[in-house]
Amino acid sequence: MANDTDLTDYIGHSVPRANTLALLNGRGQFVDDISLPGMLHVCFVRSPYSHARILEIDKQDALQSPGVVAVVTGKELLAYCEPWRAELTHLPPMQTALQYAMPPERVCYQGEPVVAVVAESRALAEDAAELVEIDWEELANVASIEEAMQSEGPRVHPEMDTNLAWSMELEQGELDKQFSAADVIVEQEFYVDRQTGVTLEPRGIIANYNSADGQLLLHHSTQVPHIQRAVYSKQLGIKESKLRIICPDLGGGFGLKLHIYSDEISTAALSVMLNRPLKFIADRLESFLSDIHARGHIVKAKMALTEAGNITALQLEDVAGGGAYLIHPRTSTIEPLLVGVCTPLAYDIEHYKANVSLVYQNKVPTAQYRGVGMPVASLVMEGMMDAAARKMQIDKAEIRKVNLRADDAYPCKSVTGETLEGLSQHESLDRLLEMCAYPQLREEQQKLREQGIYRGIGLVTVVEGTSPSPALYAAGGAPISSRDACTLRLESDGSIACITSLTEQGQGAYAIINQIVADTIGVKMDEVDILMGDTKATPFGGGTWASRGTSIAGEAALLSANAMKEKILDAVSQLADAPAEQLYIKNGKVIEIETEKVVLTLEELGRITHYRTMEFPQGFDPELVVTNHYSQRDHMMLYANCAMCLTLDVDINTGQVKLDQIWVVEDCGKVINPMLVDEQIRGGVVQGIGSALFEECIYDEDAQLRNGTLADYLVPMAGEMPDIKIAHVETPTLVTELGAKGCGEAGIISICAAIMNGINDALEPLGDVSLTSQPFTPEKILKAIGKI
Amino acid sequence: MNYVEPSSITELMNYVTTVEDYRCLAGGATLVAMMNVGLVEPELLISLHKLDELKGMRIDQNVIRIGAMTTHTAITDEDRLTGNASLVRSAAGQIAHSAVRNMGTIGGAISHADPSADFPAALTAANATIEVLGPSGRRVIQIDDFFVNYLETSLTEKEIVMAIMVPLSPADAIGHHLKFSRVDGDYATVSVSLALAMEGRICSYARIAVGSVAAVPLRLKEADDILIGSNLEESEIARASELLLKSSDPIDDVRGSSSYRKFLIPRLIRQAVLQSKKELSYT
Repeated sequence: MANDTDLTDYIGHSVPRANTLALLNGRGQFVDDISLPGMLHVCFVRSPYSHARILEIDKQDALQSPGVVAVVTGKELLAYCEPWRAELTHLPPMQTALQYAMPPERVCYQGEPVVAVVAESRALAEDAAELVEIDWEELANVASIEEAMQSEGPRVHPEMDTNLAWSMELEQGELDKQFSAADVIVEQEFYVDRQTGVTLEPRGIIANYNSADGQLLLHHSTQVPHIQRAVYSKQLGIKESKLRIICPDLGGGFGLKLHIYSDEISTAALSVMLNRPLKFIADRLESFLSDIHARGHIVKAKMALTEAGNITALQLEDVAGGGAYLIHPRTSTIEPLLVGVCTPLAYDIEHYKANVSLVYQNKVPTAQYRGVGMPVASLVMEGMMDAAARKMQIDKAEIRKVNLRADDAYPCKSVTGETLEGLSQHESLDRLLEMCAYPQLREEQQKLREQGIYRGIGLVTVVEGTSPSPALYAAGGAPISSRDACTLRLESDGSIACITSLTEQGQGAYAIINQIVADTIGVKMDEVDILMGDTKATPFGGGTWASRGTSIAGEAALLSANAMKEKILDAVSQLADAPAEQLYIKNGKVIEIETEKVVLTLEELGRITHYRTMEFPQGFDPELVVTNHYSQRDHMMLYANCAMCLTLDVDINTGQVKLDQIWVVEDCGKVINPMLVDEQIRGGVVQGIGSALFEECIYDEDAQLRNGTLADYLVPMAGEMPDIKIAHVETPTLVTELGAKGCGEAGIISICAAIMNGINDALEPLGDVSLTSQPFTPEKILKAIGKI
Repeated sequence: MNYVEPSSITELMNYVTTVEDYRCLAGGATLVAMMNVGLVEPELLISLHKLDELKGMRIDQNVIRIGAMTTHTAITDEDRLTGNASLVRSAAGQIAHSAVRNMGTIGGAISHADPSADFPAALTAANATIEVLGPSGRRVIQIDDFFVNYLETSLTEKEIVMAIMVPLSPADAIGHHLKFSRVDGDYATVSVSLALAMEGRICSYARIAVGSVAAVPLRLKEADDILIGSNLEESEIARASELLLKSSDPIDDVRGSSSYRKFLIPRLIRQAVLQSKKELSYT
């Protein structure tokens, strides 16, 4: 008889995360916790100007400073690190600029590193950095997106005729015809300011080159060790086999730790140059000046509808501000690309045109950050839906129902050519409306309005792109793996060593792999010992990005676990002289189905396999190690869907928005761990509350960042987090056995639009108010209602 | 940089008078952050944490003396801060977050003289006096004379704050620190500090200070005088706030433009006064 303690039924259950206890106990190990013998510290002299020529660098005083080992300029580092050009060749051509580890001649953004100071401590390096004298010639800069678009005027890269880095047109159907036949036309312009990722743990790297064997070892806070290895290998001229990247604990990534950063690769190059271990950890001020920024869009949208509220056509034009370089290796183009591809995805739209482009600015480069373009796409689409509903006096839930595809319409292709394999938008929306008691919310809103309280209801139905195929990046020549793998090994004590190419950035990747492997084989989770984040030890794989960990690396783990189970049963059948089909594994014991008798424990199998091999029949020697990989090649992305409703109050005396409640119904396919999915949704929602209400990188006209500290850059804290209620619909993907899609970005994709719609809904009694400029600050709200 | 921890006032004065470039370290909530950023790089850092005379609170003749090294948390938890002095408690509980409140001290906060911080306006409305010590001895500075400009006080070069004296009277007054910030725990965009008492329906005592709208906390006797003796009707509140608004000179910064802050001033004053009036009517 089975008893509860024997259960290893983990998939689908909210199992606590085993690896968080060490973090709670303060026993996590992050890059900055590691110290190598003989290690030196690097600090960078960064450009105070957004655009300037370096005339002369005098490093004599810095070299004399106590504890200083080297002071290195960009020119000197050239011999150790090749400059690069970011480009993806499968997209329309990119106008791309050469980027150096440290530029020898010209800086393109404030904060760009120009001189590295290596000293015995970070403090000594910082003291010496202040003594480096640089003669600058300030150049005309390009700050805003509007400036960048001007045909005359300064260029970020003088060798280019324009500041246009990239553009693309997507067109399907007969747009003009639809617009001229439309009953209703809605037009809106959206502005989305820049923000940044603000990971708890800043970027960091320890580079340790050893000239004796030509090995370069990097302890690196990165989401993608194998990808970084390929990129570093090429720029540093060190074979991948000689380059090892270890990722210790990661304090948040959000896409920020996917890219090649000047200061980090300079540190690696300096380690080769000096043949010493070197540490660089960005401090918070450097983070603001050098971590990738995100968003930064001006989007014009126009939509045609029938009298009944059916969308007949949508047109949009997006210009994104890319900053100084197309960041390598993913390029900054995917953000506007996904605005173009994803804006119409949620609804049944047949006629569509999008012109999306990216311009250079003398600012920190923008790139992939949680949601990548999709929060902007949903802001535009959902903003247009509400604008249409207001104009046509249709209820906001109703207009969505009219335009969502039927739940049995799948599989189908979106107007932008994306395959939508299976969505549950009607079911999700219905559940959402029931969960939040939508009609009562409207009644309550009416009552509150009579009391002078500006209550708003924000409603959105969005689609989230997850788990990309190689067609998204690798097809363009970038060394970006969409594949993940998992090796399992039966150890001598019967436990399972699990070595996955997935990486943990705090999201729970470790726990998910642990659950899948333990459940599938039939052992307790603590019998599975997981290793991740070491290029020398783990199989090759893409790591953590684009909500792909569970769906792709999880599938690889499942395949390996199935194969391992088979191997175990095969081995035991040899020992027990029973057919493998008559055996199963439960809580680490191999049991005969018919008799329910324990045939052998995995512990005993481990001993026999590794020590007493003579017990196996002659000619049978089991290889209890398996590796399987999985690469999602069926669709460009596995699309998930999410419906969200929120209530908020706008104080028209201060412009302050107070979030009241948030309800979410999310469909990410098969749910492996409901608690972790909910955490992902909540985390995304809270991060998006920051985008919508607080976060903006405020630059002045000289492209100088004015709020580059945590005292001035506002992020949401516990006080800004309302209750978030979450429910799930499960529409498993058919392309994998596991059936999971991603869920990491649905929260941030939905919340910005929901807040914007909620604010505009609250302000409806004050006339035709349409606030479309993110972040939605108190001042913008008061301006929109004519109070200031 | 050197670091010392004097254990007596004499020893402290010795350092202060002999070293040119020093900073006194109280809780470090602001100073350490400024040193980290490189804004302040003193040759000598003098920790005040071993000086017992700067610690604790005691009541003497209806005035509570709060030692300069008292943390915001200790003030938040102090139930002897009653009547007029309850204002100080109300402000202390709204400073930043608990981690900062556990470290930051009242003496450090006012010595830094940041007009967007909570204590400068609150202590102005609470009619506090500041006890300071320098090489030539002790003196007392009335709060209205203490703040001189952005990050500037009337402390002479070698003086330090020893204590803050806050009158408990009027005992029937209530104190209210109304802070507007975009996120919880941020510096105020605008704050209104108010001590108010009523006899029946007549306002018997009022002292208002507005924070974060000028180089120093903004207080006008004329504005208080409009409220005192009035019924605190809308029109009277409006007149008082109009005066304060006219005298304000807020800056544009990342927390809000000057015009936005001006928009907030009368609205927050009205809210603070009406809220206090309502509260008093229950007691």
